[in-house]
Amino acid sequence: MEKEEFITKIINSVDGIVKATPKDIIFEKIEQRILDSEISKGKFWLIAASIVLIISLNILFLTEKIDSNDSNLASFEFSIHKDNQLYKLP
Amino acid sequence: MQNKNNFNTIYNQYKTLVYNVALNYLQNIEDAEEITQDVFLQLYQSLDKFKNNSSLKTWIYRITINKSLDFIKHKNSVKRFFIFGKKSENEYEIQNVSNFEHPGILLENKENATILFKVIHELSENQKTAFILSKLDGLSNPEIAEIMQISIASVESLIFRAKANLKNILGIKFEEYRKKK
Repeated sequence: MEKEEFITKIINSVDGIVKATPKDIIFEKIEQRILDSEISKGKFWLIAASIVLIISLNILFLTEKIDSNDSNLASFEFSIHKDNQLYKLP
Repeated sequence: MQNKNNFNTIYNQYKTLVYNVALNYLQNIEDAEEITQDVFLQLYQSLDKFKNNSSLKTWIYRITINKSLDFIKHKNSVKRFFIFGKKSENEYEIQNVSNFEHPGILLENKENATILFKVIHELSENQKTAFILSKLDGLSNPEIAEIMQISIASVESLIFRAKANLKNILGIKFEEYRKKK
């Protein structure tokens, strides 16, 4: 009986519990964290955009270099083999 | 659907709910404040993705419960890393919450409530959630079923088993208490 009473008392001890109120500073901290996350998100996109720009410029530069090499080589070949006869008969 | 513009309104409407659920799980004011921040940060970031499949309140409950349970798991795993050989299901209880006094408990019940908060952590996650939502948050079984995404019958069963387990644990504690006397 005593045991049952003890258990019931413990389990019912939270009856009538009043909700605790969070401190006002929590909202300020949340706002700061939102701001921080947005800044870091902005930084992430800036870095990503920079990387894409660098890669694009490199590709552009390499493509142009290959193109100019190809046209130089073609004009050089044309200057050598004007008649396209590689093995001239004696 | 609510959007980021009314985040302030949502915060004011649900801050007490989030803080109290976190407090009931973590039984530590600083940890509950941290979880409150985490929940609202996630809420702010995913408000656009929120679909009205469930109510905002249910959604907030789910985020808070998941974050609180993850926090407990993380805290326990950190302790296991530092304290070799001391692996127990109830480390969180032993280390953090042994003397937790909920600020909303009536003065005459404080001592008994401290004992109850101590033994709540010995329940399984589902039993703990059902018991906390029912007994401490005062939710109805259908509301708990919606939050936990289980049937009402399962909620009833979880609460029944939680109470039975608590009675067993408290029975043992009573015997120990009587022997000490």
